[in-house]
Amino acid sequence: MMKQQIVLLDGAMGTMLQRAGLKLGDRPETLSVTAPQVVEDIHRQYVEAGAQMILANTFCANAHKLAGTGFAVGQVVTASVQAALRAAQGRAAVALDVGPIGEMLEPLGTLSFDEAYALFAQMIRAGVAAGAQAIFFETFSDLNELRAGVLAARETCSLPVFACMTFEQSGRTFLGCRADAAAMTLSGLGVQAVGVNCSLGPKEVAPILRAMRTATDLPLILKPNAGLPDPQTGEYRAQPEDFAADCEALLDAGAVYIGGCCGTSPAFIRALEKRLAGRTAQWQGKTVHGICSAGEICAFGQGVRVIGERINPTGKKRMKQALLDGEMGYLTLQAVEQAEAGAQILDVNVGLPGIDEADMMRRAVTAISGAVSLPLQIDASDPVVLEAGLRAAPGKCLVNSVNASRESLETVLPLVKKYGAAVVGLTLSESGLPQTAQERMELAKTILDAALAAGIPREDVAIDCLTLTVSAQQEQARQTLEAVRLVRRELGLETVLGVSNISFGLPQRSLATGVFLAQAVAAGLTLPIVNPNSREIMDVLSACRALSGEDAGCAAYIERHAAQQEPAKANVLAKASGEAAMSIEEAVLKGMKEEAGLLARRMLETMEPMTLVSEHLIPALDEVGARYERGQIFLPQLMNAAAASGAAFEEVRRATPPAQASDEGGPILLATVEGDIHDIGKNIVRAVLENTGYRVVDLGRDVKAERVAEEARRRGARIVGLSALMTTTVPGMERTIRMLREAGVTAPVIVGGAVLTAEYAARIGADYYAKDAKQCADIVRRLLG
Amino acid sequence: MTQGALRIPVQEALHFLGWRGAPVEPELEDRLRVLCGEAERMLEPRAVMRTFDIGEGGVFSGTRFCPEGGDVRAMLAPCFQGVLLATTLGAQSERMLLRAQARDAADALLLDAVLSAAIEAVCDAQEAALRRSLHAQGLYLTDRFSPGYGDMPLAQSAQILAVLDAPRRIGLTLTSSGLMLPRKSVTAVMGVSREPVARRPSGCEACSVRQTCALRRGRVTLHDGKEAGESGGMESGLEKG
Repeated sequence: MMKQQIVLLDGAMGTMLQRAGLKLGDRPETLSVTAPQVVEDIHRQYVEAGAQMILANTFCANAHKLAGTGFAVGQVVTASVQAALRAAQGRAAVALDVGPIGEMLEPLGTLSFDEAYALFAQMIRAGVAAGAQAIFFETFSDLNELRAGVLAARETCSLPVFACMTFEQSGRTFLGCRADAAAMTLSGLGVQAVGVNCSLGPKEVAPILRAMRTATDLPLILKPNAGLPDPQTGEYRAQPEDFAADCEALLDAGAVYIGGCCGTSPAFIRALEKRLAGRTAQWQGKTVHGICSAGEICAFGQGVRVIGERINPTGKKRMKQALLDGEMGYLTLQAVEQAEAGAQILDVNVGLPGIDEADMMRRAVTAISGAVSLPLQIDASDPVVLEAGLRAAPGKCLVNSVNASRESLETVLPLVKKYGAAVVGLTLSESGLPQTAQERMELAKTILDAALAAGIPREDVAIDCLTLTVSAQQEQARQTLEAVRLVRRELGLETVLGVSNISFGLPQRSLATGVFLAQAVAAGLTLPIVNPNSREIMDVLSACRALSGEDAGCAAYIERHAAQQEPAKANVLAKASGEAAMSIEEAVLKGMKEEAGLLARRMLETMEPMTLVSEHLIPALDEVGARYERGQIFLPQLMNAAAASGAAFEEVRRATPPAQASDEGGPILLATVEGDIHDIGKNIVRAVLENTGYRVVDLGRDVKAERVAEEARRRGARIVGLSALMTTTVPGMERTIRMLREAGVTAPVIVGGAVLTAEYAARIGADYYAKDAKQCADIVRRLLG
Repeated sequence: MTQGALRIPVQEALHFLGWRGAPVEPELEDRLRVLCGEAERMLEPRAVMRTFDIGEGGVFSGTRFCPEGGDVRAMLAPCFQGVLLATTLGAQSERMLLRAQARDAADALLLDAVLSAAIEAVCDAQEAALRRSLHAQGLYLTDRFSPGYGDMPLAQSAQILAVLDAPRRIGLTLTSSGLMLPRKSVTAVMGVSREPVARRPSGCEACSVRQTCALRRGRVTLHDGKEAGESGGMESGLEKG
């Protein structure tokens, strides 16, 4: 049981300023400079009502929000903190109040984590210089934005940090962050307290605060609105007495820092003071441990949790190419597929010679976390890369890995502690991998002791006893299983194994891997690293869960196999041969990818590749283009047709001897320009180009001009294609073209986007304007043949 | 404020793809139906709307907001109150698009059309509910007018978002390049009058994707004229501006 005396916070500032005449839409923070007396007076009312910590009028005093107001961050923060200090006169602590920046962070938005960090750090430095005694973050919807703020505070000053988010009735924020995941993540970052502000009234906030309680031992912050606002007028109608009573009901959940948000006034704080002054909250510690993303918790100690291994270039040609090209779309696709196949944690390993691994890790983690909400395992040997991943990931990650060597323990564990992560310990040391289970167990102990000494809780340590290839070191399979058993029995820690390693070099790999997986789970393996896209592997896990009782009533097992009993999809080959009437032209026109590929393969048995291309595929594509132009088919169908022809071209490439294949030269480089995230059009262009045989490197969206120029130069791009949708982002396109030219890139630039015209394209220095993907492909064909 | 159940008409999504009334392949329509269903299940559209008295010089009372441009001022001329509306499909719509794009660019395009139809449906529902309640009081509501229509500056979106406290209320933000995020979001102005007001014909001028609509640039009119033309634009996603 933990306990702490209640600390009363203040109530709304914005509401009070509006009552004093602030116009809706104006920046309340600037009043600290223009009417400091008004602000000071409101603070004084809260202090006199009983507030023991007040928040300075700095909520939106960041450089982004103050842009264009004529006020500087330092000026507003200093004036605000001073007004609060004057009102407090030592009777209450003064905290720098920090709200969201007001822009969405990557990957959904364009603001980078580092930019957000810098904006917060600027405010915090000013706040500390002005005499603030704590840093109070509130009203956040994006866990990663809040993480950026908390890290900025922790790295900039030594003041206590408080962190609140705002939730909807569903228990999630606008961005889908769960309350328990927020508590789990923020607790690890060394904050004084976590909690809920704004959102709803105290009654509605209760289940949200209790959800937080399950995932943290820290005292909680409760700073709700004065009930729910009237939908028409926006007025709040809760009474101070009821508000205080509802807050009191949360003392047993560990609500320690209690105040009010929108619609509250000094009367509410007085009511809280009457009821709660001098009282002590008592609470039970957390009941859930494990790791999380913003949107999902992966609880440990409750059975087997699958770690997906596919985002790793080792032995994967396509993944290597994607990393070399910086193609986040492919990594994202791997993430989405594994998530749908049942992975519960995704391993992210981007280790490849010749790339900036730390930068790639940051980009990979950011891109993946936009599309899937699974917690991540950051997999790297270089601490710099680990830190890049840990910084970027929205949630509490698993670090893969530390080992028992002194150097590894000394470099990795401090990172794990700093970012509040969990860690996988490999039972290796300076002297290599021990041969016996007992020795591995000893190394596990060494790692655990070092982790505990570094301040990492026991439940955040998992041990990997290492899988060796059975065809090479046969006796080691048994040692690995025995080591897992020992670690579970003696230390009670979670256990990890890279299961697939067992079967390298064997035929029927999934059989050997599957049986080893079953044995390992029986021995106590809880976190298998596997390929979740393998149905056999996931079948084994499903059976293991049914047999261990984790799958209550075998419900998931039954459901899985009920679904699999559905009639198997008709064999494509059989269908294609049965319908001999279908021509390759028809398959392309209808966008039937598999059929087009199979038909091409069959035709190539008796036909020259070039004949197939010039007499069948090109005419079919021309017909597709004509139908599209006549409005008989739409873009998605055009793209499917392109994909079908792409499958046929793939067969042509396979049938063409390497010497005959055209010398590729540099790729076509595509990007949506800086400041713009509209990439659907660019993606269409890319799909069409790739499927008509061109090599495309897609830099993604919101790509800085400098990066486009650098990549074009480095890769010797033969054509650069740029897209911008908005009038406001076309200047970014102009800048990009200028940078390309300054970098000495002479490749033709094709531009497109809804607000562009041919004239405008010429004016900003583009060589070609393409109104759509079809036209773009025509231009490319003209340029490159 | 969250919405009632979202209904996305498949036909509207087809319109956003450039459909001009010709027969549609059943596979395409089926796929759109599936995507509409998914979007209806997964999205939580949000809206915030407030009514203000119109004061001197057209300024909305209690704010510094004053609609700019001849068209919107003409629309509001007979009105004594102004209504500001901001709607969004929420961050989930962005995630759906990211996932779809990783998977299949053609399907992402269909989803994009579905989401464009969805945000229109959200706005229509908000407008219809307000119109009904005003009608019961003997009052009349004008059309919906968004920054970027006619000569109303796009930049006024930022002011509407600030007045409505939209980032906090519904999670709708603006980037420094003036893009609303989530993209599938709309800001609009309406007017309340004691006398019946002339409604503009529906069509491009009344469509909130007008600013970035590639179809419109290609002279395709979706809602009434069905004027023939070419659809196009490298970015034909009909995004919200």
